[in-house]
Amino acid sequence: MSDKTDVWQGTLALMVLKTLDALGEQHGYGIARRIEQTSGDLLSINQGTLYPVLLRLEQEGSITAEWGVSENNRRARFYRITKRGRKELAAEEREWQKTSEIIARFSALGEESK
Amino acid sequence: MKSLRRLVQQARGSLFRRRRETELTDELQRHLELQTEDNIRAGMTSEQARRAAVLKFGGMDSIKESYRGQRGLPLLEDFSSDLHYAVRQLRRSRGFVFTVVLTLALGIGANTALFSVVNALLLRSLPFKDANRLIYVSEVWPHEPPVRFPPSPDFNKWRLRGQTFDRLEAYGGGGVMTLTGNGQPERVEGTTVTGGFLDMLGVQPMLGRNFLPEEDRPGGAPVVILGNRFWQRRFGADRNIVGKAIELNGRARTVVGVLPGGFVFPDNGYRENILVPMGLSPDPDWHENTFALVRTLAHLKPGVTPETLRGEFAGIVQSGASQEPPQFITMRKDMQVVVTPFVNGSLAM
Repeated sequence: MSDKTDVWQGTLALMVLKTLDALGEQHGYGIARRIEQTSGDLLSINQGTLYPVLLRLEQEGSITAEWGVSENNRRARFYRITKRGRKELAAEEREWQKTSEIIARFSALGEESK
Repeated sequence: MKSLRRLVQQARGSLFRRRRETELTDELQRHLELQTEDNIRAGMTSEQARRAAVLKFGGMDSIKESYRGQRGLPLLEDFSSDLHYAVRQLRRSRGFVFTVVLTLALGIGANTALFSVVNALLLRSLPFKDANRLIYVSEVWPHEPPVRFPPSPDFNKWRLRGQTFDRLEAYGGGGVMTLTGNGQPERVEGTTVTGGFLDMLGVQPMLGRNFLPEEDRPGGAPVVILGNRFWQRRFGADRNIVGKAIELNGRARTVVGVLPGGFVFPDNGYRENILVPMGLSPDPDWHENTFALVRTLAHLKPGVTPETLRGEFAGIVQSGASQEPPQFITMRKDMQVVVTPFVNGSLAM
């Protein structure tokens, strides 16, 4: 487990939004599992980070939460992305795209000089 | 916007603290169960599965702690517990609390009583007669910054043709005049008023009389009414001042009256030092040499609403619009008449 990367602050919110955008409704555990799976189990989601992020997104109105019944008939709190959340997601994705392009260019710089 | 929304949610969080707390425990518990089930499916014994789940989860309490920190407003919650603490402490020392409260109550009470007396005697402005039937009339020209003073041709047209008021009076924008003779020359603030202005407001001079209609004509007799404070300061409250002449802007004017103390102008609360008759030409046409901007007050006929007068005045202005000089027609296009009633005896502007 020690070789797994911790999620950086800020990127987790983006992953949560993207996951909810793709999956529709999901409870906290489901979101965490899905993110870990998507990362090819390279990431380990620390619950101590996940729930505060969910709360912040809820407070900002990017997601809503509601109590419902899970697959095996048990009560769970289900999260769902809102319209505002989709907008936020699009903006964050653009921002992230830009950042990774910039980093990619800097990496290329090193390779040229070799 | 985003942060404002969050603040509101956090305030709510502080209010519904207990409910959310149980919900969170439920939610985290549920998370733990799902993880355990998955672990069992992956082949662990139920004991191992549970252990692994708890290990991965991290400390339940530390999660709750960080969650609480951002869910509510710590300041608000701290304040509330401080308040509870303070109340408990005060309850323990009743004698002390009683003394302090009594001292404060007496102090505040005495202050309020004293202020009420001073306010009534010295500070409050003079009430106007029939203030509920007085309204201030202004015009708003859409292409210009708001002007509260209608032009004199409109004022004259309203006076000629209006049926909704029993008096329509005006006063000028104020100005500074130079007083000479009898000691140091002095710049004094004054304003022009139409002949019936003071009478409409129910203001009787403390000494002497109001202006006469014939004094308020172009080329009328040079007369002046003195403000109360100015009279006290400059003329040592001379009770024989009426009938004497003073020199304003190099011209002798006869003092015909002195205003009562406490008189202030309704729209700006000024206590002018000097009032002189406006001497406005009654000409309803636009001439450069008689044109003036005048602050206008109407005294409604019984049963007439301010809105009725506004409608009538707007109609009168519209009907004469085509005879205005071209430069005014453009400026005054879409012009609106605005009326402001008095509330509690003063203008609600």
